[in-house]
Amino acid sequence: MSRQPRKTGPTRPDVPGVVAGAVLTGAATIWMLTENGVLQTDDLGVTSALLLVTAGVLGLAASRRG
Amino acid sequence: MEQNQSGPGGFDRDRLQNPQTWRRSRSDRWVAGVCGGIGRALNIDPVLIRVVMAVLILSGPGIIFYIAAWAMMPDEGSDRSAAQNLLGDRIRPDHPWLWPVVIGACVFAAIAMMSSFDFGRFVPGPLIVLAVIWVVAKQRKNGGIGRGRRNQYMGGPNANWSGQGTDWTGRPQDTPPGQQATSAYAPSQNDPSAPPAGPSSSATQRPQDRTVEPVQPVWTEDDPLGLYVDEPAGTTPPVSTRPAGPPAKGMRGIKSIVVVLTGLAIGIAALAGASTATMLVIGLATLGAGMLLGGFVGRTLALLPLGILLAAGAVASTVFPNVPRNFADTNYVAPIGQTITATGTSYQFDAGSVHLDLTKAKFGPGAKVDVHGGAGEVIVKVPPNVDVTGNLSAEMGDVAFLDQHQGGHNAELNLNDLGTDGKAGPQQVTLDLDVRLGSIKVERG
Repeated sequence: MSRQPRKTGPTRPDVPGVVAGAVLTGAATIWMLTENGVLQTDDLGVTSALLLVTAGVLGLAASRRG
Repeated sequence: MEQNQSGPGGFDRDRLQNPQTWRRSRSDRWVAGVCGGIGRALNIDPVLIRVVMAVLILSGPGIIFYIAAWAMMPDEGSDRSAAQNLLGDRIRPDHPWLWPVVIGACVFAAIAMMSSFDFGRFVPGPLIVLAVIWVVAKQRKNGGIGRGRRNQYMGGPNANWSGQGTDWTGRPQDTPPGQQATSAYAPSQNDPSAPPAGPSSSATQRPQDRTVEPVQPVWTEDDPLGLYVDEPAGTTPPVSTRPAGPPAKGMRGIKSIVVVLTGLAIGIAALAGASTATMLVIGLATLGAGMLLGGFVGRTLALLPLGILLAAGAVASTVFPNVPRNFADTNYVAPIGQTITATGTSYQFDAGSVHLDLTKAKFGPGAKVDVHGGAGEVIVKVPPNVDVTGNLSAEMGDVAFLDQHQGGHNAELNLNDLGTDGKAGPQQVTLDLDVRLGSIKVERG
């Protein structure tokens, strides 16, 4: 079975950038939701863990795309 | 990673007097390499510089120092600072008055920030953030020009270290057109009688005449460490051979777009009257979204320091809604017989500590102690038999009264204790103590 050559070039994603962007966006979103009472401070641990998992999944998706 | 350490020579006093020779470190950087570069220049441990800078930033003026150093210090391997990229060669980095003026302006701004002068009205936080973002955006924009110069250096026919026509200090360099220019360190080849440069000509020279061998740099990769790879001229491929180009970096200008969008978001939030913390968080969300989406079409990781800066600013502006000016280090021991009344025992501080020993004091009718703090520690000692009522609260931190303890976010304790005698009276005091970040402890003496 022949393997498809990896797609490289201009559209190759910047995986660390994607992960860092996801973490920053998620942190800011959690902050705003907590400030406005949508999230409780007791849920910060769970939401932070979910954020890291989401960032990891996005990073994996980006690496697969590249 | 190369770490700067204080060498055997220790602190380099001479370099302290020549800040124009300092370079931001590219191998030892957390944000922009300022502390690493200063540590390397002065031959001291950059951790020490970082600790000092962190203290200065937390107390206010450090952010001015850092931004000024960022703007004025060229990146390692470069001779053009961000200020030069922004303002062009109107700024001469070797001008003897430049650094003294910059340092003086920073010190003045720091004193103004930390004094009771209402400096915040003239330089609001959002304006500073927008200015920083604008500078970064301009630097990114000019970075393309800089890359063009680097390409010119790397392989152009008239390449030199800082672009055609300039030497290390940016002054014009007389290089006749059409003549092969070499490194700025190489001897001048202006004399028509001089033999042409190159390996063939060097063979005809006497060995003592050859001071520096001309080199012909070749682009080999995207230069991720900022170190140009030079190879001897003899190994340069023929002109007809196309040199290897840099690897594809995706869409160009994505970082500038994201930075501009972030600035727009912060500006709109400022116009809408949002608080500083909210503005910065909105900027952080915009920046993160830009990094996330832009990462699929280009490189965006370089924006992470800006994100960290925005996050740190959001945290700082949450803890300190205003510029912290009131630093307390109070350690008060009430003398025997001093009467605590309903008023007169009130403390407010932005950062620091308040220790009150009231074990020998008397408490009049309606005696009350108020302490309202930003970040720090509050400890109050009261006599054993005095009735204590009131409230202890910390937005983030610990509060403790005897064997009761609360910690974390919005820690709060309501006090209602009759003392060791277990009976109401004869004296009582109301404690109203709160801090934003820190600890509160009430003890019985």
